[in-house]
Amino acid sequence: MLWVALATAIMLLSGELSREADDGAILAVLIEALRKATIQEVSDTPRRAAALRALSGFEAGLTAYRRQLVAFKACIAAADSKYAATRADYDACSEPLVSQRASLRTSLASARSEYEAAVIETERARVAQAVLALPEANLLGAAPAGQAKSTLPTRSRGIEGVVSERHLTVPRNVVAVVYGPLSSPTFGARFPSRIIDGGASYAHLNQGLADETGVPPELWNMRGGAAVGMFDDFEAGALFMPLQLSPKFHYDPVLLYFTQQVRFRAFDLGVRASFQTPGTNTGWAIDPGLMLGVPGQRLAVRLGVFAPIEVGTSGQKSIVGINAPLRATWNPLPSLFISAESAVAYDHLAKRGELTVPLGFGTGYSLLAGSKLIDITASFNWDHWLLPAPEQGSARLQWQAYRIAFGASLYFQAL
Amino acid sequence: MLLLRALVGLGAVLGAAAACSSRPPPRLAVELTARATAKEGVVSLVVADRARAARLRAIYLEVVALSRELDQARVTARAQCANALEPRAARPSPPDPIASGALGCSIAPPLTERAAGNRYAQLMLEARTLLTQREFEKLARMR
Repeated sequence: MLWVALATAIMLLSGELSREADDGAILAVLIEALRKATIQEVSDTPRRAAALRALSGFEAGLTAYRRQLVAFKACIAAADSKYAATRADYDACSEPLVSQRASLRTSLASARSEYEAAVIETERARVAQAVLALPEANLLGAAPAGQAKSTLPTRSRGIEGVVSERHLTVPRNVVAVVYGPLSSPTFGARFPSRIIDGGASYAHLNQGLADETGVPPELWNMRGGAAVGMFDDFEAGALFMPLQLSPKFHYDPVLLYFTQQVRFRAFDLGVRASFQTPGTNTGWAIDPGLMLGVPGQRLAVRLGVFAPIEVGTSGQKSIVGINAPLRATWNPLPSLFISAESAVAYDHLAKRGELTVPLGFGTGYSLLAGSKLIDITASFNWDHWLLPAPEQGSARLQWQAYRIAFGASLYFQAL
Repeated sequence: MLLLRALVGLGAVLGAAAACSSRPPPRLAVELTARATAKEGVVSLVVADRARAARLRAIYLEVVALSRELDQARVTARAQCANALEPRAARPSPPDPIASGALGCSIAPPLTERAAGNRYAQLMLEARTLLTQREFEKLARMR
């Protein structure tokens, strides 16, 4: 319900609902305006009564038209949902329209004649002036043939199924309940003090790294949240259920994120701003960045450059890092995907020897359940896999520091 | 906890706003587009055969294009209807929405979108030939 309300509210505020609506409501406003103006401008009582009767004719015509349209749409929808539907089913929807429309036009023509007979030209000019001043009157100034523009969206608002074909943001009105790794909002979400991914995760660090980073050597987390396509290419969301389960149970910082993408024919460019609320030993954190997505039928590549900044708690300096992740996703089957990812990460630019190259693999299965899509995902990452230039010693691989994550994310259309 | 309360509060405000505003009925083109795009994105997950899935996607995308045509046909029909009406010797300025026929043409434009309607039916029937009943029902559940 929350998502339906949110999507409806956004559609309402952005004017999308009225752009998608049929013209019935606007025409009703115009007829009402005509009625008011006629009452005001036509002083002769019998003529005014005749004019109002004529306007009632227009109202009745509009009601009939809307009824016909509702019946036609319902008929088409019924045919669309029937596997055994034939040409006759579709024809049965449109056949009555011809005679209905003809009779409607006749009744409207007679209402028009009645109105013209009742209202003299000077009064009609004043009525017209009052009505045409309304913004709704734009509907009456129809565009010339060939210049009409459709207000239909430029991006499909359905759920994107195959993982490799997905864009950087979910389509408008699509909601993602994130409780699994490898989802778009957590791509490259590597802050200096923690790496954030959805789902349940177990991270193991070797003692050296644990001492160095202050992170417990065995760490269980559970992170869940949601994202919603607020506009065709704008997504916002939050991982608002970030729990640390072990070694000590507590509520981790919440991650909020906003992504705006620009779609090109072969690739997408995106700007993402993430924020992390203060934690027990960290202040606010921001993570602005750019993303490039190249979707494909079987293979997709995603690249990003992020600059995570953790604003220290009182007395501490800010920690600034840089992270450039790369993820390749391959769909051997439309429902099954495998991913490999790496990055160049420098978690603390002010410190020497912090350059890290992580390595990770993931897999997932996309399952259609009714009108919802579920991605069941799992990942295995060495977040500090290669240290090319550590402060002490030479380049080394760290196999003992790894993270396993698993979970499922759900996608559905709110409207 | 504060965030949770804020979310609940936001939900209540949005819910009230959405409940208070009645949603006007969408145009036919919007409904057809919504039904087609809901299926287009997931058709590959339902239909394993890549060739069939590709044709189905093309069909659903053609429905989207047809919906645009329907929208355009509606506006064009309205304009043609108003132009075809008997020209007045001395048209009042500003044009009277009733006498000019603009209101009548907006309420009941002539049926010029029949070609698009026929093509739509054709496409939907072709889609059935590419789908098993089980696949069809799975896709129909999307919207």
